[in-house]
Amino acid sequence: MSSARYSDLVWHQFKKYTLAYRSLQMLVALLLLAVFAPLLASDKPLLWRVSNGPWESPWFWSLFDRNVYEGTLDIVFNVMLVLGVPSFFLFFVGAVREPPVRTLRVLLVLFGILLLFTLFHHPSHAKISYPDLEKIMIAEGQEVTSVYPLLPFGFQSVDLSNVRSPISWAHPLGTDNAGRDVCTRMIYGTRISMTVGLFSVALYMVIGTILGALAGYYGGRVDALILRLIEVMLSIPSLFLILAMAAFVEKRSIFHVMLIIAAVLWTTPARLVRGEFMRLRSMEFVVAAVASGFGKRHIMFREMLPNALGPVLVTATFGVASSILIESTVSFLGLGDITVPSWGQILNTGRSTGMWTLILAPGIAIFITVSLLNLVGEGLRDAMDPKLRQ
Amino acid sequence: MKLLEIHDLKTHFFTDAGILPSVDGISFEINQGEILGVVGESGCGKSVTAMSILRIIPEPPGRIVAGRILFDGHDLVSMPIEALRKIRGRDIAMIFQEPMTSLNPVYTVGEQLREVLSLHLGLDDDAARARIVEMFSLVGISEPAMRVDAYPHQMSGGMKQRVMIAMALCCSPRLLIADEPTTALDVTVQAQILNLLVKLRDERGLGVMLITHDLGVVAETCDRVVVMYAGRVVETACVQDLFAHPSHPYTVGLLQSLPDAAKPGSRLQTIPGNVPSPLNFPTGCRFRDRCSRASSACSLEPPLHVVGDGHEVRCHHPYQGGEHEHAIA
Ligand SMILES: Nc1ncnc2c1ncn2[C@@H]1O[C@H](COP(=O)(O)OP(=O)(O)OP(=O)(O)O)[C@@H](O)[C@H]1O
Ligand code: SF4
Ligand SMILES: [Mg+2]
Repeated sequence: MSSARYSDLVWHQFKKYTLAYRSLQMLVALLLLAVFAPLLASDKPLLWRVSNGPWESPWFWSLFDRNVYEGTLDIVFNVMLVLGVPSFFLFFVGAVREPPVRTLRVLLVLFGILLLFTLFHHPSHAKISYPDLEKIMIAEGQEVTSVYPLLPFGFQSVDLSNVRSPISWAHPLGTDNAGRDVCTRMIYGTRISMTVGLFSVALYMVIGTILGALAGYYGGRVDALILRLIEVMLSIPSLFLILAMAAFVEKRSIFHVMLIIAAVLWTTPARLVRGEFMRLRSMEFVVAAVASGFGKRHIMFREMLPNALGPVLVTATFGVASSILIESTVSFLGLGDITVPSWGQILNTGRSTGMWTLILAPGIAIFITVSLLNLVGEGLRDAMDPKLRQ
Repeated sequence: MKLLEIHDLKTHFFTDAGILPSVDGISFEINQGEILGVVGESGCGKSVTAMSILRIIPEPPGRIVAGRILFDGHDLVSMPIEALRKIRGRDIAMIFQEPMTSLNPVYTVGEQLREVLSLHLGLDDDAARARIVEMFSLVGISEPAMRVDAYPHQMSGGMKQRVMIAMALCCSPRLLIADEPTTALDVTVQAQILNLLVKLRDERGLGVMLITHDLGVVAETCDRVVVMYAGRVVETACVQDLFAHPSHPYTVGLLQSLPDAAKPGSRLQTIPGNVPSPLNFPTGCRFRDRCSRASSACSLEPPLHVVGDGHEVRCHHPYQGGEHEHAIA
């Protein structure tokens, strides 16, 4: 209670906005869904035993297998999953109260090691389809014990004998035109949306903040140059820019899409930070810091930037929402990364096949996520407004 | 011993409306162990002078166009910025008028002092903390050890100004520039802070440039006074001389507008007219539109008269001897 940091003050106020706070909780749940996706849906059995052989867990080893999870993004999430379970017990079940800095550091190192390990890890049995294998073995008279996740499907596993199947217990959202389980793809799509949102926003926030800070701090010619750049970016319709840029990249990965989003959206934080820096430049504590002998870097990043970050954080929240929308638009138009099961890709499949589950499911998911983000953004904005704080 | 010498300093602002000669050829000096008062109406260039010393003029539009500022014999105006940065905050420190906004709201006051101490003295955290507590008790902050971890918004204005002073003094500077340090504070706090400055002058030989509107403050704390008008120094004197024998018509006008200078029952006098805009200062004496002693000669640059020991005045017709008494009466 005695803590008086500005961030604590804002957090305290934010928690009073019930709707925004609940939205944040739901977004955290969505993030957890993204991390724990393989626990819900995977075609690799969690446990597997043939006759009296040893117990195995193909599911666990597949987590780090680049033949199963082709994208780096999924591997990163899987590493988070593997580390997430023990840290969950450490933080929440254990009686750890104080922020365990050392534990966090250890986890971070582990994270790095695991990530490196996955780069060199190529198990041979990766492409095995365990459900098929099981059928064959049972037909051969062997005894197979297996435990699968709730949805025993991979997000890439095609089943041509089961295309366009309607909603059923086995397939809660049916299958698409290639027989892939839609629900599974939607769950893994959360990963794409979360990454696209967070990564592109982080990227363009850094770019925009640095350029805006330079413009606002130096003023004059530097400012004029950066301002012209912003104006040029703003004068081109962003969708046109996105389409043009997407057309230039031949083999588009989801990271290209993120770069494209960052290239379009950086102007918002740049303008904001520029304004904040111009305001802060003449503030007495900044002048006092100059008079105390501090150098430019200290003035810009230690004195001014922390005071400009509040509004940036609010736009970042809205930015996550716009990034998710842009990715969906780009994918919907067939210009995204076709190898990932993003919500936009599912929507695109829905458009080309006319299957309503493929349109409704991602549509609703996008709508809900974007709405939650906007609610959180608005709550944050209000929480930072000193006029609304009592 | 001379601590700081300003020679013919000119700081101009190059704005869209034109060139503002806000500080236009001023010279004065500050000695060790001396509190120099700088007085003058709003807009006469006091703050610009102070900011010129540390070269913290907002640039653009401002620029030091001429002059030398010698500190320890080194010219601050032509010095490379890296060398100047070592002097800022360590040898010459500055405190500002507005205590409410002079501290960074996102850090505790202790963190802000620690940064300065590690920058100039290279103190580690423990040494810095000890030093901060010591400085806090010096400037009269109660429970100094507890206040170190407070955020600025948890403090009163007077407390913040004390923190500012502690921050300015923590590296033991030899010159303190205080730009209206007590204007925003109530009278008791004001007196305490001024007493602190006097104590530091006496005990540590600190030189102080004290900018103020308040001639009462000048009378109580300063050793010498510089009177500025429209970007120029019009009179320099020790504080006794200035109050006993003011020489420049503008100084006389300032003293007449003091409540206790007026005889009981008589009306408070004010200087007629307004400070001219820096865009079109009159030629010659800039005070001539408002001066009761003005003559045709006053459209020429007024000469410098030495009217007493260390008492200089820039005027064609300065008051001599006790002449001003008649003007006041
Ligand atoms: N940033 C600036 N841009 C343009 N002109 C400025 C700037 N700062 C100061 N000036 C000019 O310099 C003149 C003197 O200002 P200064 O702040 O030194 O006055 P002052 O004597 O400190 O007044 P006060 O008692 O109100 O603080 C002002 O009238 C203004 O014209
Ligand atoms: S020079 Fe002339 S106008 Fe200026 S103060 Fe002296 S008498 Fe007045
Ligand atoms: Mg001023």
